[in-house]
Amino acid sequence: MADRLITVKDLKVSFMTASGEIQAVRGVDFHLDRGETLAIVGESGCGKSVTVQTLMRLLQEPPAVIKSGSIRYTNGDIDMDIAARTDKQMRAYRGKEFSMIFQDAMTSLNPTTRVGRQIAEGILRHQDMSAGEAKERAVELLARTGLPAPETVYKRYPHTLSGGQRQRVMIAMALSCNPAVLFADEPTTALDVTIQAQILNLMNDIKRQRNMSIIFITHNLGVVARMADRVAVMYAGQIVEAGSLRDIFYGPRHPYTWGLLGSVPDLRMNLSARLASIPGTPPDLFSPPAGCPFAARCAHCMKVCMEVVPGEYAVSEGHMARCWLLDAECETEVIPPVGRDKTVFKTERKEEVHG
Amino acid sequence: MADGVLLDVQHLKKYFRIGRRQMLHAVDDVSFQIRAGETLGLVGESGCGKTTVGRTLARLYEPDGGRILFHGQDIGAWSRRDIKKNNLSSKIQMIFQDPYASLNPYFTIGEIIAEGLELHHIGENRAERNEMVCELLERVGLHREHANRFPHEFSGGQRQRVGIARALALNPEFIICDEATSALDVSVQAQVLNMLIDLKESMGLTYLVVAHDLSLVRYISDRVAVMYLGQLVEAGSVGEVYGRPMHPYTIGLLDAVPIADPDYEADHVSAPIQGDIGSPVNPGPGCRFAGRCPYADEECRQKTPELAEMGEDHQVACFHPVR
Ligand SMILES: Nc1ncnc2c1ncn2[C@@H]1O[C@H](COP(=O)(O)OP(=O)(O)OP(=O)(O)O)[C@@H](O)[C@H]1O
Ligand SMILES: Nc1ncnc2c1ncn2[C@@H]1O[C@H](COP(=O)(O)OP(=O)(O)OP(=O)(O)O)[C@@H](O)[C@H]1O
Ligand code: SF4
Ligand code: SF4
Ligand SMILES: [Mg+2]
Ligand SMILES: [Mg+2]
Repeated sequence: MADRLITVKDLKVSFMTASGEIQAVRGVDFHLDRGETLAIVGESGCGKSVTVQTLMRLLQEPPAVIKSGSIRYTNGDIDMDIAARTDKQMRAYRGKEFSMIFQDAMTSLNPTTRVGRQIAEGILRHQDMSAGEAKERAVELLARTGLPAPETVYKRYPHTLSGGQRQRVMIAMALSCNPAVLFADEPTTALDVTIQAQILNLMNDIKRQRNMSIIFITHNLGVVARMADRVAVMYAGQIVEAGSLRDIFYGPRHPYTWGLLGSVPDLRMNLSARLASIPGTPPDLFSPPAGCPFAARCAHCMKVCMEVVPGEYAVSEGHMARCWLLDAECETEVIPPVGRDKTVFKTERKEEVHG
Repeated sequence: MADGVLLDVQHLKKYFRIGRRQMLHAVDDVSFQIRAGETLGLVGESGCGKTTVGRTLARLYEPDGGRILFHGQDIGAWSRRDIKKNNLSSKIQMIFQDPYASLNPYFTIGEIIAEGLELHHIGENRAERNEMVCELLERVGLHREHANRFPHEFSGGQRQRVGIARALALNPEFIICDEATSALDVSVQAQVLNMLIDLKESMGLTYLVVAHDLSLVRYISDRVAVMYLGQLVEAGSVGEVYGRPMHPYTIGLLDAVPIADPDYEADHVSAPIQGDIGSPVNPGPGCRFAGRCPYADEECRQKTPELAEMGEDHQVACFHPVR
C-alpha cells in the first residue's frame, strides 16, 4: 500500500494585482507518496513554482490568494489541511517536514552569515542537539554534497562560493533536518552538466537512504527521465496530463505533451531531424481562455475545445489526460506523433466537466 | 588559407588583469576556423571562456594575442577607426541571452530596429527604412503591426525575435549567438532555433553558437569546439565529436547529459567527473584538465597538449586520447 503524504484537490491560486486577477493555478489535483519523486514540467509561467510554494505556504498573501481547494498532508501523527493553515502555524513544519531548494541559491542564503552557521542554526531550531553536535552534523552534510574541504566551506560567506558550490550548500541545508518531502524548484538549471550530474546523483542517494519524497520542477526532460517516478505536465495553470514516467515518455496522450517531447533537442536524435516547434505562445493568465487552454496552439483543435474545458480522462491506471480527443464521442482520430504507442485511443470520461 | 574560410582564428588570447600580479587567462591560445555558411558550436563549462571568445571576435574586447582573420584580413589588429571605416560592427553581429535587457524599453520595436539602419546609413529616407523594418519583422515571424509596440508588450520568444531582426537589419555576414535561446520557453526555444537555421539557409549566414546545452549545439551546428579553462580540448564535425569523442573531458561532459529516455536512463550508470573546473588565474604548465582526469600522468602535469588531427575533421588536445 502506498503511503500517501500529500493529496491536493482542486487547488486554485490567484494573484490580485493592480491590473487585475492573475489566475496562476487553476484547479490542480495530484498526490505524492512516500519515497517517490514527482516531476512537474511545463512552459515558463504555467504555475509550477506557485503550486509548490503554495504547498509550503511560502507565497506572500496578499497578493497571492488560495481561491479554493485543499492540500491534505498526512505523516505519522500529523494530519492537516495546509490550505487552511496560517503562515505562523506552518513555521513549525518547514525544514522538518518539508524543505525547498530554489534555482538561485543566493536569494535564499543570508549573505552576512557564514554558510556553516546557517546550516547549524537550522538544525538547532528543530532538533535537540548541542551547538557542537549541530556543527559536526553541518560539516558532515557539506561533505556529503561533494564539496571539497567542508570544514573550510563551513566558515565561508555565500558570495565567496561559486554557483555550483552555493547550490550544494543549499542542498545540505535543505536536508539538514531530514525532511519527509523535498521541493526542488529547478535546482540544477543554473549549473553545468558535470555539477548537475553530481547533484542529481546525491539527491537520488539520499532519497533512497531516507525514503524521502521529492517534488522536482524542471524544464529539462532529460533530468525528468533521470529523476522521476511520476510526471505531471502543466499548461496555463492546469495539469493537462499526469502519469508514470513511462506513460508520459512512451505513451503520451495530450497534444501539448507531444509538442513538449518533440521540441526539446535530444543528444541521440537523428542529425538531420528537425525539431517540432509548437507555434504561438501560452495564453495570458489574466483572461485564460474559456475552453482548453492549449486550443489556440493545438493542431487538432475542434469546436468543442474552444468552448468547454476538457475533463480528466483515465488512459490507464494512474495515467490521465485532459483532452477532448480522448472522448468516446470524438470522431477525430489522431495517432500520437511521439512515444512508442501509436494507437488511437478513446475512453469514457472520468468525471463530468464542471460548467 | 583554405577554401571558403570566413573566419580564421589563430592563437587568440584574452587575459584580464585582476589585482596586482594576478592574470586571468580567459582565452589562452585558441585557434579555429569557420567556413562561410557554416555553424560552429562552442561548448564547455561555465567560466571556460566562451563568451570572451565571442566578444573578442566581435571586437567588443581587445585581443591580447593572436590573429582574427575575417575574409583574410586581421581584424584583431584593427584600430577603432579601421573598425568604423570598414563597417565591421554591421558585418559581425552578436545576439545575447537576455532579450529584455538588450532592448531599450522607451523605444518602440520599429524604432529599435530602425536605429541601427540610421546609424549605418542604410535606406534613403524614413519611409524606406520603415518598410525595411516591416520586412525584417515578417522575416523573423512577427507582424508589421508589431513595429509600433514596446518591448514589454512582447513575450520572451518574441523579444528574442526582435533582437534577431535588429541584428539582421545590418545585413551581417557573421552572427554570434551567445546563449541566445536559454531564457526562452521550451517550445518557443524550438521556434527560434528553427528560425535561425532557416535564416542561415535563406540569407547565407555564418554562425558561432555559444551554449552549454550540448544537445542544442548538436542540433544547430555543423561543427563543434569544446573548451576547457580557456583552451580548446576537442573540435571537429558534429558527427565526429559527438559520435566518437576522444578527449576525457568531452567524454565526461557528454556522459553527464541526461537523456530524455527513461529506459536509457535506467540502464545508464553515470559516473560524473568529480571536482570543480578550477581557476583560470595564473595557470601553471600542464594539461588544465589533469586535476579531474582519470588518465592523468606525469607528462600531462608537465607539458601542455596541443590540438592534433585525429581523423577526418577531428582535432584533440590530449596525450592519451580515448579511442
Ligand atoms: N508575485 C506575483 N505577482 C503576480 N503574478 C505572479 C507572481 N508570482 C507569479 N506570478 C504569475 O503566476 C504565473 C505562474 O508563475 P510561476 O512562477 O508558478 O511559473 P513557473 O511555471 O514556475 O514558470 P518558470 O518555469 O518560468 O519558473 C505566472 O503567470 C506569473 O507571472
Ligand atoms: N571583464 C572581465 N573581467 C575579469 N574577468 C572576466 C571578465 N569577463 C570574463 N572574465 C572571466 O573570464 C573567464 C571566462 O568568462 P566567460 O564569460 O567567457 O565564460 P563563459 O564560458 O561564457 O561562461 P558562462 O557559460 O558562465 O557564460 C571567467 O573566469 C570569468 O570570470
Ligand atoms: S482539448 Fe482540443 S485543443 Fe485541447 S489539446 Fe485536446 S484537441 Fe487540442
Ligand atoms: S592530457 Fe592527460 S590529463 Fe589532459 S586530458 Fe589528456 S590524459 Fe587527461
Ligand atoms: Mg518557476
Ligand atoms: Mg557566457
